[in-house]
Amino acid sequence: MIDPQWDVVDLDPVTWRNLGRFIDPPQYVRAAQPGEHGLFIVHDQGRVVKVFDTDRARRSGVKIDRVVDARALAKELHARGHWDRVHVINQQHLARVGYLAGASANRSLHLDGYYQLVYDLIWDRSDGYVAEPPKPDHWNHWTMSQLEQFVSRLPKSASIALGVFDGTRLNIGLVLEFKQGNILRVTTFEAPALQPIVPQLSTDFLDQLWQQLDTIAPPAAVLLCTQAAFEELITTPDKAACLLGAVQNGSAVLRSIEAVIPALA
Amino acid sequence: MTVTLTSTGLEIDGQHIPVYSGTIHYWRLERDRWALILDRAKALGFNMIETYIPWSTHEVYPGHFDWGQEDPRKDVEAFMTLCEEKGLWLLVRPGPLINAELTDFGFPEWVLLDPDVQAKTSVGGIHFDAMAGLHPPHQFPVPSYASEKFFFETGKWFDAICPIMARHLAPQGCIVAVQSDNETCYLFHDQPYATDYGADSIKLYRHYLGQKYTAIENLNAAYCTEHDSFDQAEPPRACEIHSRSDMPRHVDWIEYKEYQIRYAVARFARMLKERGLVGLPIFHDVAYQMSTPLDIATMEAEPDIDWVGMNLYRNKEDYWGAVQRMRYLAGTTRLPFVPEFGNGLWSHHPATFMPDEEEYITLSALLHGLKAINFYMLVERDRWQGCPITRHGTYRPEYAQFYERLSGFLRKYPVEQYERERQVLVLYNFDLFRQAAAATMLHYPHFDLLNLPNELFQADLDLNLKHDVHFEANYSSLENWLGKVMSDLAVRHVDYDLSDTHVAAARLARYPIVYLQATDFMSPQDQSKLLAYVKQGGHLIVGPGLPYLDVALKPASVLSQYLKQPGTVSIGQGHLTWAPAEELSNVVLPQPEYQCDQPLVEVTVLRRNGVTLLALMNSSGGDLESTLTFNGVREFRSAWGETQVKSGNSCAAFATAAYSIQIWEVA
Repeated sequence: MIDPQWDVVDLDPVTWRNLGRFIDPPQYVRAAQPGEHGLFIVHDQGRVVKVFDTDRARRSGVKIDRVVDARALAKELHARGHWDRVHVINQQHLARVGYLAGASANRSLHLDGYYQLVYDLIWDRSDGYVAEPPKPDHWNHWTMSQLEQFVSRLPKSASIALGVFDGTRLNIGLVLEFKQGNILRVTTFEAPALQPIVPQLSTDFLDQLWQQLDTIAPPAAVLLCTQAAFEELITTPDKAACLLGAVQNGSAVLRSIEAVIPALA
Repeated sequence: MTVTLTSTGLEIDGQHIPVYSGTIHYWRLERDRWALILDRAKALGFNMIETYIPWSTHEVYPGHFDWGQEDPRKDVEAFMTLCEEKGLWLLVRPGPLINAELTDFGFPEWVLLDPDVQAKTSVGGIHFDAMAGLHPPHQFPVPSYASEKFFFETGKWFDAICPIMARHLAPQGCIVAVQSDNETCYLFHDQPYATDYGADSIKLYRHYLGQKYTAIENLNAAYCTEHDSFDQAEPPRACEIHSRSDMPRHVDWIEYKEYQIRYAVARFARMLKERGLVGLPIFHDVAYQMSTPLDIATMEAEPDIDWVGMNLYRNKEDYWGAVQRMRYLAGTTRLPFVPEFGNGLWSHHPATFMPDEEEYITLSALLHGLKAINFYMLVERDRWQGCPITRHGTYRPEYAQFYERLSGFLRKYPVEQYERERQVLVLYNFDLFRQAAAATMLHYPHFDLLNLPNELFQADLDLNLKHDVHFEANYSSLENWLGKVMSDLAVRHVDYDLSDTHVAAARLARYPIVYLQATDFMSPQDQSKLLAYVKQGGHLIVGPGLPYLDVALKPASVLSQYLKQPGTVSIGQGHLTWAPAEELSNVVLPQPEYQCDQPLVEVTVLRRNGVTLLALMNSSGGDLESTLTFNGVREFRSAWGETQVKSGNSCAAFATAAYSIQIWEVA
C-alpha cells in the first residue's frame, strides 16, 4: 500500500499537525493503553525475570517465581481487581518476533506489510504475550483488512480526498493518489494542481475539488465533513451509519465512484 | 587550516563568519528554481546554507554516477557554483548515511543487500531500520559500521564525490565545513544489547578489548576467565549480571559500542581528508544522546574530528529538554552547534511545529548558549513541511517573518559573541550511565511498538550498592540528586552549563563551582581530574554519594579519602563538598544579579562589550506576572518584539505570556 518511492509533498502545516495523532504506530499495536494501571510480568520460558506494577503508590506486592499457565495467571490476577490490565510476556516470544521479522526476505514487503507481519507475529494467539483483558483486534473499530478492501476497489489510478472543517476553518485537507493499490503521492489541498481553491464544506466545493483532482488522478472518493462528524467517524463502531447520518444532517458531503460504495457501506 | 573553527563560529582569511545557516536540498528542487530559492534564503538573512549530498541519488547503479547529465537537479557542482555566485557559504554532508527521509536513507540498495555489510541483532536476524522507530517509506537492512565491506563501498563513493567538493573549498570556493556521516548510532536501535553482532563487529570488539587490556591475562583477571586469546571473548547479548564480577564484561561491551561510533566517524573523516578535503573543519552531528553510546567529549578529542554538534527537534512543551541540551553543548563542545535545528518537520512526525513554537524554541536555544545553528529545513521538500520557503520558491509568510526578524536581531545583537553569565557546571556521571545501560533488558526489535513502561527495561540487580543506579541515572527526573540540583539552581535563578565526567580538565577550570553526580563507583582517572580541579581552587560539590569503588566495583578512594561523611573539606586551594539532596539548598552560590520571584520564569543574562541582554522565558502554559529585583536603577528597552521601555529602582514588574520570551537590553 505504501509505495517505497512515494512523494509526500506540498503539505499544509495545519493539516499535518491535525493529522499527527494518527502517525503513531504503537497505538495500533500495543495492548497497554495510556493511563492504564498495569501489571507486567516478564518471564523466560516460565522463569520470572521481572514483575512491575505501573502504580508505585498502589504496589500490591505480587510475588511470582514461575509462570506455568500465562493465560490462567493473567485472568487470576486481573480478577483481583487491582489492575486495569495484566500483561504476561515471555521474553523468548519477543526474541522470536525479532528474529522472524529480521528475515532477509522481509525487505521485499511494503512498509505496511512489514508492520502487519510484526503485528501478526506479536499477537500470534500463542501464550507469548498474554494480556487480560485482551487487546482488541481493531483500532476504534478500524482494521487493516477493511482498509485493504477499500483500496482493492479503487481503479488502477485514483485519487481520494478528505476535508475536515471547523466552521469555515479548514483543519484537514488531505489528498492521496493511488496507483495499482499503492499510495504514490500524499499531498494536501495546497497542491499546485488543485489551485486556485477556497475550501469549504459545500457541494459546490466538492464539485470543484472532484474536477480538479482529475489533474492528479481520477477521483474515486471525496469526503468533506465537520470536525465533529470526523471525530464520530473515527470512533464509532458503525462507520457506514455514521457517514449516512452525517450526510443526511448536512455535516458531511460525500461522493464516490460506484466501485468503492460496498467498502463504505 | 584555511577555515578555522573558533568558539564563536568560523574564521576565513581572518574574518569571523557566524554559522547561521539553513538547509536546502538541491536534488529535490526544480533546477530552474534554485536561483530564486537561494535569493529568498539570502533575503531572509542567510549567508550560509547546508546540503546533504546523497549517495544513492547520484550513484544510480554501481559505478554509474548522475551529476546532472541525466537529471539536471543532480548537478551538485552547478549548485556549488551558484552558491559561489550568490556569495553563500556552504556546509556539506556527503554521508555515507544521510537519512533526509530518503528511501533507504540515501544508501544504495546494492550496498544494503550485501550480507557482508548488514548488521545483525542479538537474536540473529537482520537489523532492519524499522526495528526501532518509524522511518517510512520502506524498511532496509542497516549497515554495520564495523563492516570492512561497508567502508570499502563508502570509499568508492568518496572517490567520486570528493574531487567535486575539493574544487569548491573556501576561501576560493563556498564549502566551509564537511560532516563525517550523520547521527551515527545504530540507526536509533541504540540499546546496548540490540545490535551489532555480525562477524566484523565481533572482530572489532575483540580488537577494542586488545587495545584496552593489552594482554589476555589482564582481561582474564578482570573477567575471571581463562581465555587463551582475545578471540575467545564473547560479547554479552543480554544483561547477564549476577555478581559484581560480571560487570566489567558488560561495561566493556557498552564502551565498545561507544568506541565503534567514534572509530567509524573518525575513519570516515580520514577518508575524506585523504581525498583532498583538507584545510577546513570536519564535524559530526549527534541525534540526541547526551550519554552512552555517544561520548561527545571523547569524540571531540579525536584528532580527526574537529567539532561535534547535536540536533534538536522540539515542541514548545519540551522547552526544558531543549534548554538542557543547549546547556550540555555549551558545557561540552568547542562551538555549541545544532547542525539540524528543526524548523519544519519530517512528515511522519506527529506534531508539526507551528510558527510560534519555532520562535519560542529557537530563541530559547540561542539564549542558553547555542552559538552555531543550521535550520533544518529552510526550504520544504518531499517528506518535510512547515518551513519559511516552499519547494516552489514562495514564502510561507506565517513562518518566514520570524526568520526575517531573527536575522535582523542577530545583526544588531550577534548572540554567538555574547557570553551568558554562569559560574556553575553540572556534570553527568558517564560511568553511572554506562552501568545503568549495562543493567537493562528486553532490547528486542520492535519493543517500541508495545509501549512498555520504562522500568520494565531495567534489570533488577543486587550488587549491594548504596545507591539505585537506574534512579540516579535518570536525567529527566526531578526526584533524584541530579534533578534536585537542577531544581535548586532553577529556584535560585542560577544559570549553569552541563557536561559529563569525560569533560576536558581545561574546561573545568572555567567554572568556580562544579556539581558532580556520583554514587558508589567512578573511574579513578576521572576522580583524579576532578581532584586536581579542586586543588587548583575549584569547589566540587558531589552527591548523592562519594565514590568509594572503581567501575569494576573494586575499592578506589581518590575522593573518598578526604571525606567519610557529608560535609566540606579544603583541599589545596579549593573545596570538596559532599552534599546529599536534602543539603543542596545549604550550598552557598553566587547571588545572581537579577532575582525573579516566579520560579517558572527563567532569567538569563548575556553580555558583550558593555551591552547587557536580559531574557525572561515563561516555560509554563499560563500567563505569569513576575517581579525582578536588582541593585540600583535599570532601564529596560525591548530587544525583541514590540518597542517597549520600562525602568525600575531595585525592582521591575514583567508580564509574560504562556510559552513566551522577552529580551531586553538593559542600561
